[in-house]
Amino acid sequence: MSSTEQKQPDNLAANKISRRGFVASAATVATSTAAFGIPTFIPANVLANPSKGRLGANDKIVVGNIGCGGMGSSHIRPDSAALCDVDDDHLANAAKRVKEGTPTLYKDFRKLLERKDIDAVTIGTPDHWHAIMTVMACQAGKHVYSEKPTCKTIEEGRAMVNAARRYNRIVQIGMQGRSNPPVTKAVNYVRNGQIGQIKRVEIWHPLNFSTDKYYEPTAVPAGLDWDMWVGPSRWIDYHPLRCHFNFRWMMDIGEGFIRDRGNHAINCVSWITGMDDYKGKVRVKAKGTPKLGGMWDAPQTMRVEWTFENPEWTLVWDQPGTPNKRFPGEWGATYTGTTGDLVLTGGDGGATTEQKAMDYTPPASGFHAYLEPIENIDPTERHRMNWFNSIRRGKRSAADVEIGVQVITLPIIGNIAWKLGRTLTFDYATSSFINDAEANRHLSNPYRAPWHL
Amino acid sequence: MADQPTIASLITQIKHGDTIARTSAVLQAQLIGTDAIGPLGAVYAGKDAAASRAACEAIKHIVYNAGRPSAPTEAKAASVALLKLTAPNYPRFVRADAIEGLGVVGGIAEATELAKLLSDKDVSEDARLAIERIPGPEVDALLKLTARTSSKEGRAAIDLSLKHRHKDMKKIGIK
Repeated sequence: MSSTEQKQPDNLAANKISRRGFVASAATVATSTAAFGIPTFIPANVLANPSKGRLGANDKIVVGNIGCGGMGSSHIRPDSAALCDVDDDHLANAAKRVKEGTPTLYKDFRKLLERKDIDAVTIGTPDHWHAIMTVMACQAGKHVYSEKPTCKTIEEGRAMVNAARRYNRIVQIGMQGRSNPPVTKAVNYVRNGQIGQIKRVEIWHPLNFSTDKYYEPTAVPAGLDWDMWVGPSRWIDYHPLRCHFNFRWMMDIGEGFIRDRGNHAINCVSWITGMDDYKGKVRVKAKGTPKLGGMWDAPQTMRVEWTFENPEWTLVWDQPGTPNKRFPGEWGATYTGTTGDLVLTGGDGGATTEQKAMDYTPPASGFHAYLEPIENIDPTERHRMNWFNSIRRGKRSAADVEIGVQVITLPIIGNIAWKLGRTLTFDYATSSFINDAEANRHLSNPYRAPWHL
Repeated sequence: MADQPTIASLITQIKHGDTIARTSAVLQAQLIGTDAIGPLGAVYAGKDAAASRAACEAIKHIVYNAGRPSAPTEAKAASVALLKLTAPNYPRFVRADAIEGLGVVGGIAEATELAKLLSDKDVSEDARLAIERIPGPEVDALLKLTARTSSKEGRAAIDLSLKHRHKDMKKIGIK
């Protein structure tokens, strides 16, 4: 590595501190690796290198947006070259947001991926599309920014990482906590031993949504390609309360807040506790109350406990849970260690943490969380800029897909434990449950034809 | 001490107008076990949307519990009961859910029955997805045998299942 090369974020090769080493010795800062500075100049080695297909620092990155409703709409750039959505209404609204040029509109993402002039795509679809689209985009040579949650199954996660590595693409997951300054403050505070060794993290969050309405046969609206919306999932008939944002409350598709804001909260937990590279076992138990007064089947209340080993500590997702009285918020987490605690509320594009962490300055030799060096910018935009800059640098981004898979593994196995109604033990090293054949059948989903990974 | 629930009391509670009563019934369903799947299936197929929804949930609780480790007799009993719910006289949504359950707790015997549904246009794809989940070389042989007599489209779909069943996790996602 040359002295001018941009150092990688902490979660990558550089400045790595093992989880075990961190958790076991967090009270003593002395084990931390050397601090690294983030140069604000452009290193020579990120200049255009056509032989490797890398974009130069000043090259324009041509973007296409797949999935233009909801959070997907936030990724539309003023100069987006192509837009894709299965809903004509989404496409029409998205097109109005493009101010430079006229984007080509697609209802089939495969057509967009055929475009040779597009360098990168954002994926803002429902969860069940993330893996296939990411894999196919990488195969087509596109860099990817996929919304969270990373994937539906453990197998999908493996495919996404394989594709990103094989085709050397930058795949960023929309976990903006990795680009949110208060989260980095919490990371620095905890990982430099200010609360001692982690013993417990409790996440509180409001209930899953519910409805009193039941399914009734409903005509698919004109302009919506419902077959494409369902895509690889097993077939379900159209209903507006199954479509778009509402998919989150169906266990077939969305699987509740634990995969939504839960993904964000657990992303922060993973970073703050140094669990991004954890490869041990985790015991998971879950309980919840089914909501039987309407058509959605996500449990109304839900409590999942994951217990990690060596050293043992516990993570809890609790709906509704109890907001921390000292530092309350709609949702958040209390981090309890052997010598203190810290609260972080939110953890997506919005986050706050206690003043003691905001005021804390890590020692020069301590752990310094990476934050894309851009002043006065919204965390979500900073996260996108981190992706763009990572593409130019040819380095993995702050919320690299491998981290995204590591994080979403916990909600995935939590939901499996809830469905099966028993305590399970998952082994990160083998990506499978121990001694439970039925649980292991849930680690992948067969896809409706013609879709496959 | 509350009385041990019976199938009759379970069904009464599942049909109850009160959400709390239905929820309680769902959470107790696995105490009765796989014998309740058939009666619950009838409620699931019925016109009372609230009871239907509760019956669906109760069936899932029973089936997933039956699939736990070291309970092969219960898994078999659940499979036998679910197979009955795949009959064409049940609504498509009941059949589809029963088929999905068979993919989770079934074995080669259930796969063989599911293979007969591959030519049923209402649930053929549900059946293929369920078979795909059931492990074992006998199921591979079954799929290959079924493909011989399938339509061109059906053969292509079965081929996807066979490929997925033999995926190499180190190469999945790579062309």
